[in-house]
Amino acid sequence: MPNSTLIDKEELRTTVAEVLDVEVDEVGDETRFIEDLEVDSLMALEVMVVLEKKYHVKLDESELKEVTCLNAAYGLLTGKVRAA
Amino acid sequence: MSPIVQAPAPPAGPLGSAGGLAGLPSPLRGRPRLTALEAGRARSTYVVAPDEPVLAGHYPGFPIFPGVCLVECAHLTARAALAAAAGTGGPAQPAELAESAELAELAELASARFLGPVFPGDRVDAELAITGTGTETETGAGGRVAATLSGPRGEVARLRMVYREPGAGAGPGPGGGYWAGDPPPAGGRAPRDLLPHRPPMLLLDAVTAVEPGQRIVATWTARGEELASPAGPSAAYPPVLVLESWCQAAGAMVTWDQPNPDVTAGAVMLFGGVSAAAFTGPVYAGERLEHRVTLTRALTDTVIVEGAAAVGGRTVLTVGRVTMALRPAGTLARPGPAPAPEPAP
Repeated sequence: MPNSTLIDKEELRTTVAEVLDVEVDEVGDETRFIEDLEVDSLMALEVMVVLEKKYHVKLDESELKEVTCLNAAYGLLTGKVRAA
Repeated sequence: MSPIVQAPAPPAGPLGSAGGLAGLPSPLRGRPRLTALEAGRARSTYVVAPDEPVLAGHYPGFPIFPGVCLVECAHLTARAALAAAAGTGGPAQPAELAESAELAELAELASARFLGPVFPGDRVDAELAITGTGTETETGAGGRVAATLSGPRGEVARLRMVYREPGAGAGPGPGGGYWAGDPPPAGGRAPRDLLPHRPPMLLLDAVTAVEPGQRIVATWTARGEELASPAGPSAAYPPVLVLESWCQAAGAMVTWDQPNPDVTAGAVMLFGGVSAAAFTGPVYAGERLEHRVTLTRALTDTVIVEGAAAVGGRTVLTVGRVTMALRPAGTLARPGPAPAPEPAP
């Protein structure tokens, strides 16, 4: 994906749902992965690693652990893609 | 699932009689018992016998029921339920299954999440939702299965599995190397010096090449003698053990510089999850597997790996993603006495 392309939020939502093994409509913008979707912290981490790979960005470990919902992931990845 | 429907008695016939027929090869000696079976749903119960053979090697001094054996419990239940759904007159109980031309094969472990440990004596209840039977394959032997497994302390695993009709394997995979150019040859270190696994659950013979923490090539011959329920040479080797062996290669890669052969000391590697593990062809006893594992991402206490396994250049397993967590042994400490078991459903 070229770095200039902004991230498609709905595509992001689909990817997150796939990794978390939930329906797309369960992943609201502010739905908290761990508390609301009852996934474990390992899985939340896995989501971010998949996104890193998909969008060709490198996130710090602390950043990976910060991401708790779709909006947070979107914000972080958009910033990274813009900066790249 | 209500009301609970008692599984029907197995019909008479060559499969139902079970007499004189070898059962399925399995790492388990025990078998889950189907307690309910109805269209699209099945439920089973399995009690981890304290003398179940895998426990001696997983791990010495700290017996913990392997994650792949939880998959095996669901797998045996699924095969029995799929046989019933296909209407092939097969047996209804996993204990009565025998390798046959009509038994569905595990094509893919699409997803597995391991949520909590299972200890000797625990009862594991599996709830399966089965879809896609009878329509996606010619024989109707295949299907898709979503399973939730619970132990005395809550959910222990969530699985999604895809089944295909027997003999409908993806055929020879791409073969050859998983990557171009191998890492440097490895010398000196045996799997038992790197991993806490011991027979019958040490499923790795040698590391042939390694770039510590990044890539590894390791081999294992699926002998068959390590199976608590062995079977004849024509029966395919349990796919869950092909995956377990691959994961042990991944474990050797991760711990190469910090071997951890004693599970009761230091960090323990826990199986967190699997995504897209495709079993692309059968493995038979006596065949030598070559595993290739590459690191996807390493974090302080978690690694994510991917790769493949081949027999003589024929790809038999591809792994999209396996997540392993390194945790202090103390966090695995067995809880106090388990709550009194609920009456069996």
